[in-house]
Amino acid sequence: MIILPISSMQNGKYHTLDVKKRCEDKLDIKFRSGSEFNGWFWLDGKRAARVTVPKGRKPVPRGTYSSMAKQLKISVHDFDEFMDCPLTLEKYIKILKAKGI
Amino acid sequence: MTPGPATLIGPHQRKRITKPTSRSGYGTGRLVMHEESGVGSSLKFSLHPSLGMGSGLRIGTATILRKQTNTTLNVVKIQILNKYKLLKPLDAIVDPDDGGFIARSIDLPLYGYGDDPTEAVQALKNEIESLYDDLMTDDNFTDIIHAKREISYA
Repeated sequence: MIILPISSMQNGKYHTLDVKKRCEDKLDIKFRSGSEFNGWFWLDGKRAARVTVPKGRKPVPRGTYSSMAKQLKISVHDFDEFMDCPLTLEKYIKILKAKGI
Repeated sequence: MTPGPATLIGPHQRKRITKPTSRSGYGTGRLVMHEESGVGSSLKFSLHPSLGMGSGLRIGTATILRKQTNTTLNVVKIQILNKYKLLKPLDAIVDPDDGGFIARSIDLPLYGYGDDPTEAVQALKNEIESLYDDLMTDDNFTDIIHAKREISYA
């Protein structure tokens, strides 16, 4: 069992479709529908991050929530802000660039 | 199927230790388990090639899970996908996740979620294939080139 931090993880507030909508609106990710939704975030004309969103889960399971944050290459805290709205596209790109992506 | 012996390689020593398997919740059979030295309590296991088709188990794949009560990780090796076969198996960790199960690849930023471990592993396999298909379309990627080395069409 992997122990996840009991912090501000906001997974309980959201449905997986909320995550999908946020990624579509803020990151302009075009999701493909298969067994799950998955899509790429494009940065400077290149695919930079690939995110998978399971279908039909509310609340978003904790491990899944942290996995989606990891796929977007940000911390769970930053992912909380992404979902809550404070993290804008510009801030997200700034985080990626700071990591050398 | 009669449960067979399991071989456990002890940590730090790479010494084989045998112990009998017990019936798992997802099937029985001969398991070869390896414990990585220096990786803590992680366990890897793979299906022994001696398993026959009549067992209902897929040889060489990780569709059978052995839950370890004395370890903190449930690790599977994935090699045979739906359309492809991996030249080198990928390790994945399967954990309960708020009412379901999540299978996470150790080497790639991929995961699969399901209502049971089998479904989670299958979802992960789908993701691996989907990523491979994406990687084969072009080279328009920033930092996932290393992933190409992990997956090879066979």
